[in-house]
Amino acid sequence: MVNGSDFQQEGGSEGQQNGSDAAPRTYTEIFLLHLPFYLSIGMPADEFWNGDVELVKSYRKAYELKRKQMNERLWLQGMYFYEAICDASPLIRAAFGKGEVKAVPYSKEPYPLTGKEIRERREREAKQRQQEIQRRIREDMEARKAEFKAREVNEDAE
Amino acid sequence: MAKVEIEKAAEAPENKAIVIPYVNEQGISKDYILEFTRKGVKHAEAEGFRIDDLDSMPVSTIPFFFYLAFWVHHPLIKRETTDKIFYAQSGRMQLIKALADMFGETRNSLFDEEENEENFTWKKTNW
Repeated sequence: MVNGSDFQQEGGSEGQQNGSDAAPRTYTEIFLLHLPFYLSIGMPADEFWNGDVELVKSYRKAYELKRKQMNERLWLQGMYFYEAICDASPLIRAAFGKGEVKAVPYSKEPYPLTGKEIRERREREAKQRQQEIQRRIREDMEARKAEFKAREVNEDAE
Repeated sequence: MAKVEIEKAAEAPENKAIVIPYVNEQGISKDYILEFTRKGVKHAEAEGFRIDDLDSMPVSTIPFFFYLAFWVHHPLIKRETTDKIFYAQSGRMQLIKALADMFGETRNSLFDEEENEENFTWKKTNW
């Protein structure tokens, strides 16, 4: 992928391409050499020619940030694919083996990406675990109560 | 005789242009904005200017360079007028240097110096 740094050699060795003694590039020629790159990353031609000359630095930085974001997004997509294939792989093995197998269920929610999302997920899971424990305790108590009552009734009957 | 009321050239912060107040022979005061955008540099080079000429042919080039700096904001101004403004300035060499820096920045801003290690005068090493 072409980026601004591909033109660095032009700036560092103007007029000396492959050791030849070509005339130094004029500023206009250098501008025209770089213009397509800046157009490709969304800088309007009018800003390039007539705007603040420092603006190109911000456009370059923004381009690098976008590339980083895209890279992270693609990595994340790959992780989802990887997990999906791994989760479904028992079914593939089952086609060649014996016995009943089950696929690992696919993840119920996206990976948390920010610190805040990680914290919220941990809190949610802790709360769910807590509720599950309370439910089991409640069920256990109900069962013991029912058992105790049944015993009392039997004793009375005797 | 034109009355000159120039205390200092102020910089317009938004575009880093140079503002020169000038009072002409009729006593009319006006602020002139000098700036080099890439379009301005392209125009200057189309008029035959080369930045290297400032060092090699300063006497003839410097007033011409000064005149070219008006083009972005005052494209119809006459060379005769800009010469009068120029010779009315104090600190002319500093002014020309500031304009030359502005001219060079149109090109230099296209490159990230920190990425071009050939420009470094030092080397990384383990010790």
